[in-house]
Amino acid sequence: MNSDKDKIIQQRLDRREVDSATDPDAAAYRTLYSALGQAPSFCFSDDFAERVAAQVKPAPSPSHWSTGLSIGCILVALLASGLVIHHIDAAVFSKVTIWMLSRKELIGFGVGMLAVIQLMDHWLIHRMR
Amino acid sequence: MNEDAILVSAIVNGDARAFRRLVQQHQRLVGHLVSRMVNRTEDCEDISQEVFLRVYQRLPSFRFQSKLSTWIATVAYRTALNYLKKEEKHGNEPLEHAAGCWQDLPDAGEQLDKREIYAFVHQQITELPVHYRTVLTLFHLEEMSLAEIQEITGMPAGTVKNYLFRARKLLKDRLQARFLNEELL
Repeated sequence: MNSDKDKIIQQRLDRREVDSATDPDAAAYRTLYSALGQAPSFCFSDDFAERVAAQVKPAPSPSHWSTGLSIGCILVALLASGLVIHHIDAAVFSKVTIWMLSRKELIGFGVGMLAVIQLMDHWLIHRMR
Repeated sequence: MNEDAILVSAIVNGDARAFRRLVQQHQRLVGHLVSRMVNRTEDCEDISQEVFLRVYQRLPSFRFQSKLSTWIATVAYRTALNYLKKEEKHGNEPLEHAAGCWQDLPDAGEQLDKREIYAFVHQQITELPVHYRTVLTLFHLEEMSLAEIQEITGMPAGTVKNYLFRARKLLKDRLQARFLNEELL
């Protein structure tokens, strides 16, 4: 059958075996294979790589302003905590402390969950980038 | 660590020059695949650009399960396929390639017949179904193995072989219908 012959010729050419020069089908396939190995007409502009690379911006490093703001927020939070602790009623404060100390597992679980959420957040952001 | 791994690591760490190097190394592969699949020369560069931007976004999650070139070809294949599906949805017919590229070469006597034959083959390729064009490009132009083509396209090995065989037989028959046997020797 013709398609068997075509299959055999193609397989031989795929193995880069030299086929009979006089067989018209083999000759046609050889010419075809040669044409298939020629690159198509499309080619990029000379600055293609530069233009693509220019569209990709690395993540900005934190500016001095944003670092200062972060430090400022932390200091304000510490100050506020200090003021609260200083002015809180000692009796209330000790009751709260006793309550927390009696529920260490709960506190530990809460802190652990916060850490897990932080890690997941960090991983997701890294993945999205 | 091989060269590709070093390059990927540099890009992930924000080295823009490394990314430019990656584009330069693989733009030929991407350009060939996209231009053959899409059949619209004017859109090829835009689509290829989109391919490389997607490569950049997904590079942090690339774990070298395959060669870097194979993975980039996969991104190019899927991007081009998505473009074709969108065009189909909007009812746009793909344009045929201009056959002009071969006419840019200077006349050179006995080489004229070969150029005419090659131009004819390339014109015929544009009329094949997209999956035929894809496997022909990856196998003959990029010299990829059947296993790599299978990985890039997601087609079973038997389908890749079948498409290759049918595409080549079709082109051979058209070649013989258009040119005399003596011209094809």
